Amino acid sequence: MSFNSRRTFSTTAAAFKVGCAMVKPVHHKVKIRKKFLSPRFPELKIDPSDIRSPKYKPYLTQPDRVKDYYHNTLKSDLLLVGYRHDQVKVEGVKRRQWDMTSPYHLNRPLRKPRGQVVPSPDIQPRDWRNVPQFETITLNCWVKEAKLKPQMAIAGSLQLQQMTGCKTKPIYAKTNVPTWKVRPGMKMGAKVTLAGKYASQFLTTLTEIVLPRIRDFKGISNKAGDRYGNIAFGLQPEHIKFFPEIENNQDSWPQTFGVDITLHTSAQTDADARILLSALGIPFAGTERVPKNLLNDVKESTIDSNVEDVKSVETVKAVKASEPVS
Amino acid sequence: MITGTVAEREFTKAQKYPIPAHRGVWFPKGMPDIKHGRDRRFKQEVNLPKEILEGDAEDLENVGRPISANPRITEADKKNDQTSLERELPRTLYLLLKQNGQWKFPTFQLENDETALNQVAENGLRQLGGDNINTWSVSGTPAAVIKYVNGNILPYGTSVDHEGVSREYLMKSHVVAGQFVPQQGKGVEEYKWLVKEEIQPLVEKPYFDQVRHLLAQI
Repeated sequence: MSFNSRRTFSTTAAAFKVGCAMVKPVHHKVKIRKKFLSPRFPELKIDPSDIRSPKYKPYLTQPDRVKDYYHNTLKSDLLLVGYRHDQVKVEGVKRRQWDMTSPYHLNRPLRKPRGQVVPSPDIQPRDWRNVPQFETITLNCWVKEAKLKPQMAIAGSLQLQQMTGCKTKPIYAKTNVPTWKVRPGMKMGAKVTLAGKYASQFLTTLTEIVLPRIRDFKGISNKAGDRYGNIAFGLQPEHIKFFPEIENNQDSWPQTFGVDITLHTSAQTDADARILLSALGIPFAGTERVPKNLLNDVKESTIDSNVEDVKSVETVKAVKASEPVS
Repeated sequence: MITGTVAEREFTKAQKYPIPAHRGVWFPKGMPDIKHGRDRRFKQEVNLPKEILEGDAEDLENVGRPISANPRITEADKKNDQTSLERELPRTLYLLLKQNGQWKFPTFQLENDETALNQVAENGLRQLGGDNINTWSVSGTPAAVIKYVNGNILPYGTSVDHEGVSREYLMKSHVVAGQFVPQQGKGVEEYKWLVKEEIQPLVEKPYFDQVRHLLAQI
């Protein structure tokens, strides 16, 4: 008996045991949420998006005109404006293989992409899923005077809070530049990222109140942009006074600080981002340069003469009504 | 800091927020127990802001006059005047014409292949509705194409190797300003500015099935 029950390589020990469970032990895998089993707190079972739930937080508390305009009018227009037949994917610059001339190339991480450090993403043909959308605004206020007078960084931070109504984060110097008397760790100002209703509110203030009152403002440079659909520009200290939050309380602001503003969009190229932002009321000026790799994104058999037309910036105007014309 | 809507600021101003505890200060009702701007010892009191009603809303000289919004229901809404652009203010309106006894979007014949489609649509609209309408054509790309065989609409997804297929391209444009004034002798029997739900009973069913997805819900 003892000989037979000895463990061999062809059998398992469990097969000889009596009373082993035939039911798979699911209790390891299925998470049991006690709040659904217990009758004690019925309101905890309600979804937090339900107004009866104690976790409910209202978020649609005010109309957002920028968002409404985008979803009702702009999105379908941008799809048509950016659409071209037989558009093909434009490959981004990717990491390269080593040429294996040296045995040390084996298992090495790939080479850097040509001309840049990080690879760039592919540019997909326009379809209804990748219509550019306005996402966030970043305001960055670097106060030069703060290297000698540290309290000026706080004033810059307060100015950003006054303009946006959002809590700011401090920014610090990163490098040591003895001629500029900058050392790492010095607090040099503040930044804030706006999203949702705060971003819409700020954009409206910018396009309807501030930018029209700047005398020498022709438009944001068409050369601005980081190639991936984010457009940045700067406002001088005297332009900050046009913000109504600052202007209505001028005595408290003897000194204002310039701000760098970055408009983040989900566009794949800067040209697409400019079309979107001009539709939201931001003017652009100057000559525009289209990157070479974007010029041949249509199948060769269907290249027509209006490629340049599509690339140029178009301004979408405010609309009252629309009518398809057949 | 000025944040939020006017209503939010009015609400905040109307509230009586509790005074926080201070060392060395005697509070007659006991030390306050404040969490999230509310004294937990007492029932919360919410004060609704009183409406400011000082002066006449019509008096334009008075800067502090109460704000009165313009009505969202216009004269054209009351009369159900469907030829007016001043109707259904929050909605998107579409221009429909009755040509040859049939309600449709404005339709024009393509004379030659030289002119761009959106240019043909813009020029045609001027001929039917006069120069008094300022429109902006969104794109040279058609929003859709409707195919006809012997005057009947081909449903979506049907193969088109038929000989006698004729096509209608739908070009989108926005009215910026102006009015559509039907011109004499151009074959416009009637015109209407309609929202999506009003278009459905007016046009033929196969035609509406082709354009249903293009029309805005709002």
